[in-house]
Amino acid sequence: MEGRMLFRLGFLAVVVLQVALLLAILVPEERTLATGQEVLLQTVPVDPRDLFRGDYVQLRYTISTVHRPLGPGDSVFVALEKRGDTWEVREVYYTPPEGLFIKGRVATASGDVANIEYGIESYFVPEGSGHIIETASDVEVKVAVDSSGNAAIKQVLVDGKPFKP
Amino acid sequence: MSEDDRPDEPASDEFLARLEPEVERWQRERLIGARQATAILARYGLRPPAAVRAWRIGRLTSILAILGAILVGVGIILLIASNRQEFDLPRGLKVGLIMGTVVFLYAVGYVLRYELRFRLVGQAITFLGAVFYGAAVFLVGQIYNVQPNEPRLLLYWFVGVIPLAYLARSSAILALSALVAAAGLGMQAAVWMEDGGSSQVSAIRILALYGILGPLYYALAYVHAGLPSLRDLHRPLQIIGLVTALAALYGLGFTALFDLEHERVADLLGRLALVYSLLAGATVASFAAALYFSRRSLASLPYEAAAGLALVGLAFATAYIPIDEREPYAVFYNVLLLATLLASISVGVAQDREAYVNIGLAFFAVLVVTRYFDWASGLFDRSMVFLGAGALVLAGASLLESYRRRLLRQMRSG
Repeated sequence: MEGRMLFRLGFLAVVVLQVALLLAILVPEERTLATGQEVLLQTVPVDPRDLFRGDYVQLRYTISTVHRPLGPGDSVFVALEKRGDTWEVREVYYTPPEGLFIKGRVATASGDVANIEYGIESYFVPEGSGHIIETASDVEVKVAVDSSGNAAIKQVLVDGKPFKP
Repeated sequence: MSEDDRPDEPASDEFLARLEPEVERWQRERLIGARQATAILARYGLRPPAAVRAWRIGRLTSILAILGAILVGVGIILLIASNRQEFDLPRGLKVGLIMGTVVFLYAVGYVLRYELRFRLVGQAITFLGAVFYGAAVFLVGQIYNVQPNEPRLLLYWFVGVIPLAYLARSSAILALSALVAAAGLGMQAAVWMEDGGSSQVSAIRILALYGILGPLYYALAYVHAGLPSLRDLHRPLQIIGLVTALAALYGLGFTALFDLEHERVADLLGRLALVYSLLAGATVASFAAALYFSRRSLASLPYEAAAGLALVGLAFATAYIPIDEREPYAVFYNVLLLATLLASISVGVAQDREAYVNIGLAFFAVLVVTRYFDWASGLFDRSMVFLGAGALVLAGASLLESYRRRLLRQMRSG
């Protein structure tokens, strides 16, 4: 009887573990969305062959490319400043700077040009609606950036209006 | 049954009356399987025993339950993954639906298997829960636009299901865990190589990783086999280990692979080397433990361990040796694959392991066809190449099948 109870508890513990792991994915994202400062980022065109991959759109931003001598795989903190409606790169640091910054990882680097990824490069869209973003002339992304530099996509704007497929 | 197969003399009623319960007892004691029980009784014109009929119905129930569970699971996954406008639910509700389905599947699986004693259906639903949990990890990631190639997601899947495999004593969930771990390691290795500044992901290093992981799974299978409480779980690890090792050798047999990597990629002494070392160390420790537990009961184990460790050493060397001449490497790995699959067939015949024979022959067929295309594509017109390939496959398939049947007949007749 005791063994049966232990087994039940073990089974319950596994289910709790799985739910906890699912929460481990969503809690940091929710925290960033809830507490982060909202910034508007301008996207830049991506090679159309790579842009739409089935269920999600590949996004690149004006802040994705920086003209600094960085190494591939480097973890960096990109300080942002507002220019007009959108936010752009002010400076790139290896330690968290003062003011608003976003955390990224250098994906590729060549000479003084580095491509940085911020974990906001994929946007999942309803089936078959990727072409709307693909063919739009102006795509901006509303992103929440928390005090540690983590970012999460809040909304995609196509030609100034919220993306509605 | 032919006339020749029938007994010469009609069996006495007394004999027939004794035979049926006796066969049932043999089956209960696992001296014979369902197929043999049916054949013995059919020889005397008797119907299969109730246990065999129940086993058949049970098997059918299990297959139907698994199919049904898969269909339901795929339906829910597609519904959420499609992200369709008409099902545009609030984020919290979507997450709740996903988590609720995970908990619901496990609850149903548990009640069916352990409370109501519908063992097979309960097992199938629990397995579906493990698969759905993996889908849930990716679906939650999708809701928050997490990068789809994040190895962390596969790690969460593995960590979530591996305890369940042992708790529920489920071979299917253990096999799933092993496959998820293999996929996650491969993906993580690719990310580390990119982080290390590689302009390309080294396929050779990924295959070398699987060249170590295969023997590790194989060694772990023997550790399981040596422990009475885990013995039932050893088979999937053994098969996945063997297939992973053979697949790694097969992949390394392509000349083009070495062509692509004339300049070696980064992360020579980085995190990837650490993973190689840890996996290799675990393989050595597992084989040592397996030899300690099972050496007396399995004469071939020291040889299998030696072969596994040799493969680990080779995989290590493959990841780090300089590549100047491409040809010798590819030839070497083709010869090594041939030797390994022949060893697999030999062990299969010697130890009555049908799966080893089938896997060895399947890899042999794939190897022959692949090398044929390599050789013929540069010599003949494309139509001739395909005509030749078709003829080769047909002839090879019939030869292999007759060889396979002969081997299996020999194994069954002892």
